[in-house]
Amino acid sequence: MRSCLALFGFALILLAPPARGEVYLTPDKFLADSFAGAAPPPKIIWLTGELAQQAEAVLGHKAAALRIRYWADGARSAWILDETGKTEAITAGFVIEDQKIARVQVLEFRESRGGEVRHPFFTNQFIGLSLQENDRLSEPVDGISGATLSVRAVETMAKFALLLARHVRPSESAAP
Amino acid sequence: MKAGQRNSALLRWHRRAGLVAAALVVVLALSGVALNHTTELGLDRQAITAPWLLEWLGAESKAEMHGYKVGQHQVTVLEDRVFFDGGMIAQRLDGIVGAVETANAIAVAGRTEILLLAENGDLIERISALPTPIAGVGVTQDGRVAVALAPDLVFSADESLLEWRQVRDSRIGWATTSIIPAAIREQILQAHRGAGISAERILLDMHSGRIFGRYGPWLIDGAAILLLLLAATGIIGWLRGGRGNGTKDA
Repeated sequence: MRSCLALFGFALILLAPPARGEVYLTPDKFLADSFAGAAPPPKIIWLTGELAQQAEAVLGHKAAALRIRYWADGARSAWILDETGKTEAITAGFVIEDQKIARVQVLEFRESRGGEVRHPFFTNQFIGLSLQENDRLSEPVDGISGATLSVRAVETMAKFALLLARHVRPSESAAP
Repeated sequence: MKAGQRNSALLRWHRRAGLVAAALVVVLALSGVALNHTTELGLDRQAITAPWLLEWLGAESKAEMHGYKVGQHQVTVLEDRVFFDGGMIAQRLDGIVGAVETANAIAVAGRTEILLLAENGDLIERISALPTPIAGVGVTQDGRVAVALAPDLVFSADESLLEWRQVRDSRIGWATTSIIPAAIREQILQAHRGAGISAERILLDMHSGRIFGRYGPWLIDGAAILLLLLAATGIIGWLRGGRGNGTKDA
């Protein structure tokens, strides 16, 4: 009987299905939703000099690219960023308004575990948060058991988006 | 057949099935437990580079290299990996169609994305907001990136590659492959091999049976069915006579 129970346990291990990567929202749809149906033209911010150093401090590693694309209208800006959770990149969109987070949306999740970070119960925690001088978010974000690395990746992207938005002056982001 | 004989036969088949499944169960159990703790054990960061294992797993690339001479540099593509002067860049790119030198950067185009590289090979931006699917990449007379979706459907980008417009320009220099210097070819092979395969990947292949070859997953499927049979024969045997045998043995 004991051997049967043990083998049943092994069978459960065998049959546990892995999660698959999935697109939850396309970047175009995210941008359209974030700017009342019509996204402004994209702009570019270069990660050079002091900003490159600040980016490295926030990300915990050198930024993957030398420039980042963003969309802005007045004091509202949208950022689509990638960050590795465990082994695969998580793509998320952030809307920053008046240096505070106005929207977080996981667009594509490619990891096998941790997809719970896409749910509003997690992403809504970021609304209204800002970036403090010590590179921390203004309020702590509750983690998700079993999704530590994905949670960390979304937090990192949120801080990065806030940092980038800080360097986009409203005069630069005014609608043409 | 008496109840005792039936139970005896059931137990005999239970033992045989257990013996056949045992080896695979050990593989499944050990790989399953290890996979549950890949982060703690560092298996996802540990690269396996043993040539015999890479060859067994088919990790030694048999794909053809495609080289593109861009200014003073050599961009080479092996499978979905991009190499800049022999060094592998971190970004992967599917369906690479070519590389060109623009006025101030190097553009490596895949079917749906462009990697914009600086003169030193650093990634400037991974661009996915562009006309696709790309069939060819070129550079206009004024050094801007152009992509062809079809022979008569060509788009050219602005200087920052933010906006694209359809053009009818016959003076576009399209990317063409070039001969890859032997030294760079060898560097690329070493870099590709050096990346190796993570221990986690090998464990996943063990767990799924893929490591045993084409029929490996079927083998594991067979083991799963045997486990189910074991569970069934064990429960039936216990209900029928296990308790009785226990009393008898006592």
